[in-house]
Amino acid sequence: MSQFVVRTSNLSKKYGERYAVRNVDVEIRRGQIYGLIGQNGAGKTTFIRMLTGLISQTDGEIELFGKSGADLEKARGSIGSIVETPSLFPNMTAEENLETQRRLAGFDKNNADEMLELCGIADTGSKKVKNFSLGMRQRLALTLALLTEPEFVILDEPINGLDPKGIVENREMLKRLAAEKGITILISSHILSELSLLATNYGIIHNGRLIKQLPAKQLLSECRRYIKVITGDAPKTAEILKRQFAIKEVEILDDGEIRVYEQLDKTPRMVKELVDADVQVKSIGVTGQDLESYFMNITGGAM
Amino acid sequence: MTKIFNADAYKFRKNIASWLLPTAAVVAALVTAVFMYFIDHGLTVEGGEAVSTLDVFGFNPAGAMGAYALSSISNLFAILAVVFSGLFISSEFAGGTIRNAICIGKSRIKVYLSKLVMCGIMLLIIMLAAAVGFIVIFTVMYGFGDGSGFLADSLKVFGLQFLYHLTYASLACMLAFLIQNIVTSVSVGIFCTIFSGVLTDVFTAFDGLGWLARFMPNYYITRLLDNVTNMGFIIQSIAACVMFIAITSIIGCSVFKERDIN
Repeated sequence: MSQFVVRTSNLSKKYGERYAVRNVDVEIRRGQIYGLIGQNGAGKTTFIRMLTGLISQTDGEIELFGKSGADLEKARGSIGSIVETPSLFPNMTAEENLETQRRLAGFDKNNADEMLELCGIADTGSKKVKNFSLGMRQRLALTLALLTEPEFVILDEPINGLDPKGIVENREMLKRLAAEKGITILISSHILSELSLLATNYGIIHNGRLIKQLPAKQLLSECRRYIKVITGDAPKTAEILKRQFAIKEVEILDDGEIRVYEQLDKTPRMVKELVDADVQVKSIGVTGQDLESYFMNITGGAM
Repeated sequence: MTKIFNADAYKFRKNIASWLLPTAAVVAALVTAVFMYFIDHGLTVEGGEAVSTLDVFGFNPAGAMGAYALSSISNLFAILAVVFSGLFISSEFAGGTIRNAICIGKSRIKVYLSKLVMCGIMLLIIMLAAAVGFIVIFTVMYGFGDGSGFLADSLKVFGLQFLYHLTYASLACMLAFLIQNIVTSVSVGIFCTIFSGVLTDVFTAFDGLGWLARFMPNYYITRLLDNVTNMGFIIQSIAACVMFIAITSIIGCSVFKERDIN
């Protein structure tokens, strides 16, 4: 049994002369919650569509559960997915939608009620899907994706339309599924704060290219907090801080801003030392690069 | 294939069109039969003898011949098949539900063929409903008539009519997969249905083009009643229709297999 649920190599999709996805090499191991991050139009959905077989790749290889080529169709039988908007029959009830999917997948177990309960949509009765709110449709789509107890779940922007309570419930449920049932999850989103509460690994996609793939721990260490100091004399300030506090990790930016990555709890003492040394302190405080600014920096643009 | 078909059959049962379209066919059959009856009773007398409208149309005025009357509402079957395929197939592209099958690794060819079978089943139900409507109303108006050989004759005529009209269902299925938009696929389907009838007449009207007409299903639909005992005609019609269905299915499957799904 392959340890990789997904492996792609040089995966590319070209529309006309433009690459929507270019040479993407992604590796997702069993049990991971893989967050695929990127701006709108970065190529997340195109990548997911190739994985799910909705579109064919222009170039490159896809391997699912260690299977590739003609065996891919079979491998996709172990996948549950939501791609972009929820794919539901508007004139059917929630239960009828689930029954359709159950038959399609040839899934013997009738667990519709249990899954509807799990996804918080148990009390819709004979209400047709066309009368559902966007949030309810999103929940039902998630139920549909999880109905056949897949080994791998692909969720493309799954929290769109969910209310805050729904977002929390959705997150907790996915965490529980990953932990208890060992389900591997690929979740794409541009809402980084939400993704950061869930993902164990990240892939950052920008302009069709996968520019970084890293575990959550590494990401957190890269999103470091620091003391931001602005004074009238940056070199002198840095010198004083290095000397008085034995600080090694200090950085002077082009605009004169000083970043100190150590001893974040000693800010009041630093102010005193600088004032005593006749340095004009314009501002000082602990700040940090949050996830969004990290991704903005790495992608060179707004998320 | 069984799983896809099982799911499609469930969707078919839940689709309101599956009830409305056969109902429309029955109503059309009843209206047509009653219309014939009233014309029949208002006919001019030629040489002292009443001319039966049903004779004019080529039907024996008895309920037992109800299956023969299907050709009188042939265009309706074609249009209902087009409407059904639009509602049943194109709507899956519009609503994105076609993705549910593809994303779990179902073969696109099997998905196509399952939908084609459903279109065929819908057509069968529509035609059966209309045939029963004709038989009942003709029986009420003229009596059942000579019942000997009723089943064999009716099955033969009904089977051939069904095969001929299945070409339209196959065409409509192909269009629904190619166009993927309900309104456009239904509009184009209706246009093709009407156009194929016109084209058949044009081919037939011009010397040297008559052979082309023999590739058109409409040619056989309109001539079946005159050739119901002509084995050459029947074999030729079966070959032409099977070829038509095969070609449209191959085109539909090939395009659908390669096409990106949004």
